[in-house]
Amino acid sequence: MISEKLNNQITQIGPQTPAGEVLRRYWQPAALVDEMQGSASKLAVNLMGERLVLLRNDAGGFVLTQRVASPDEAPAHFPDPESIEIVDGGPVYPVVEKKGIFFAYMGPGEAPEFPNFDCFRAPDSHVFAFKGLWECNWLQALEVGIDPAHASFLHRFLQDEDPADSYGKQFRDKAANLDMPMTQVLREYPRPDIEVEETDFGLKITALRHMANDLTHVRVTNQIFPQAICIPMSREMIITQWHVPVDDQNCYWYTMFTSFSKPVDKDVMREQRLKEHRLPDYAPLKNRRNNYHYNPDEQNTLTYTGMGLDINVHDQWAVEGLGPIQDRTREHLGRGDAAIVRYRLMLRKAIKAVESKKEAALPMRGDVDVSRIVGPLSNDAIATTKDWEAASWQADMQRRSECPWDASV
Amino acid sequence: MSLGRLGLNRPLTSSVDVCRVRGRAFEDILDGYFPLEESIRQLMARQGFASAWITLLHAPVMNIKGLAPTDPVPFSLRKTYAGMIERMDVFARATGEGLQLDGVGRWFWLDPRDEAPRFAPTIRLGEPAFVRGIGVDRDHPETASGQPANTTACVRVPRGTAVASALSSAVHELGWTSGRAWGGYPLTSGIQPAHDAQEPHVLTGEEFTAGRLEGIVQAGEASDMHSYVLVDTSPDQAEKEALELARLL
Ligand SMILES: [Fe+2]
Repeated sequence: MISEKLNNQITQIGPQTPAGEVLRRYWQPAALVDEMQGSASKLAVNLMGERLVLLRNDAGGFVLTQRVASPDEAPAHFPDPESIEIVDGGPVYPVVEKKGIFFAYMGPGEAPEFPNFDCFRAPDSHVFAFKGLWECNWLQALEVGIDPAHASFLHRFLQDEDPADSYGKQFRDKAANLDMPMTQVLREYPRPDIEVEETDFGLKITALRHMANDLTHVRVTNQIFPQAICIPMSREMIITQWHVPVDDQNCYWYTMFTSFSKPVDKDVMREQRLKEHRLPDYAPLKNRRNNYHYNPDEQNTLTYTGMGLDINVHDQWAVEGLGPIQDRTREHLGRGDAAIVRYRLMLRKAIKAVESKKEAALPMRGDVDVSRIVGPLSNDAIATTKDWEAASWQADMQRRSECPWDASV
Repeated sequence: MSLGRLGLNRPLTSSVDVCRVRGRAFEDILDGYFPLEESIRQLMARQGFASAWITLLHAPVMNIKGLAPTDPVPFSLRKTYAGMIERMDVFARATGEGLQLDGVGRWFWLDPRDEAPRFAPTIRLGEPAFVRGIGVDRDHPETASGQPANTTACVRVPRGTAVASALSSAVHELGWTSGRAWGGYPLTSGIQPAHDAQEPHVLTGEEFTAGRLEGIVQAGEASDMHSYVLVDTSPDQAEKEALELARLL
């Protein structure tokens, strides 16, 4: 329960807003490389409450600048490239291309270096990027991703799929080396112990599910400051996902799917996701206007939500259902929300640091050599002893050692 | 403040009292929505502490008019009741009647009419709050038989002594190379606003390196002493986990 004013402080992202100024100190995903087709030289970008255009310059590089926009255009409006007019004298933001995503730096001063996260380090063949529109504020979108308990309810599957059919899907693989699908682990052990640790990139979040026969399921996920998460998807892949504000009431998730051993089958991955989204704005086909295709029969027999097998839709419904900006005057957090509590503390500290011109105190800024920040470790493991930390570490090291690219940490 | 109440051992010197205590740096989450004193009481019960210094940072608070401490929290918060602790260093100790909270902090209310000379212990946190601090263990049979951990101490410094050199001397006497200290605050006067020019004897985590006390120090009466909790931050200490936590305080 925080007042509207204190809620505005952590949710609003326009220029000169407290949280907006923090987010502007970091590279922000601006568009997918897939969106800049062929010889196109312009692409509308709606980012951080600003109406922008991505431009290809003569040198073959890219910049982001302001475009003329009418006040009544849709938040994720994508005008024809030919009709885009550039605002003279508008700011010019630097852009770099990384693994299928154009990143822009919209803050003052020098842009920070990119950390050496797995998604940036893996070869292009092993990373696939996609995005999707959610009609809600970025913070509630992020906060569902740092709540390890929600998966046991929101993503509960009442039947388990053959893990052989699990490619490219979250939670459908076997859980680590256990002969039990992840869906069964989540369903049968819904109350994890949650441990949160501050790291040089943000938070390491460990969810422990104590199972029968003294086994412990250990799931390690991460919050990467300011608005990304890094989580395991299957034994093969991890997900790095940014929740990027379009404006205060809409955001895109941008995801890099990073594969350790085999190259990503990008055609399958793209096809799976294009079935659920429309172009050019990447709005999901299941949404509030069609009740997320809610089906009570399915809810009775197959899924907790009755909204299909794509877990993205469950998360989308959960966070959009809170309203365009979650009303936190009516919120009651508990001890299970440990990571959310820790994250808000980090965000408020960062807001204070920017306000008092101590930007070097922000995570991954200042004198820190961010190129030395690797990983983060993100996996599911089964511990057969009390030493779950060692089990988790070992599982990750094994995956990394068998990997054809340098994933050493 | 009585030494016995803090579970202290025998003082090592007579001028600046240095006493090893069974205690440790800790981190935990204070529950939201209860009166602060109740959330702290539960934290201390959970951790097994008799007393503790606790630092809160950027913690939303609410001061709901007409809500008794035992009343449940309402469904939603009216904006006039909201505020924020920017930083607060609270010393909590179990007393016969309950819990005494003293300390110093910076906080603000959205409605300036809520400003008061003291931060009432019945004010509720608006969210659970992640906190760090130093706790002194409750004196009970299981722990009394063990060796006191060598990572925390209580120090009493006579009024008028240069606090920095007294604490450097205490760090030296404990055999540490460095330590951080909290305290120097009158214990019974509640949680007061921090001033821009804080009295130099009020400490909220300042670090001291080992040194010898120069000059002669007169031992004062118990009522004439400033009390501190000191935690070991020496790089060479045996318990690496304790050091990591102490450094984060
Ligand atoms: Fe989810």
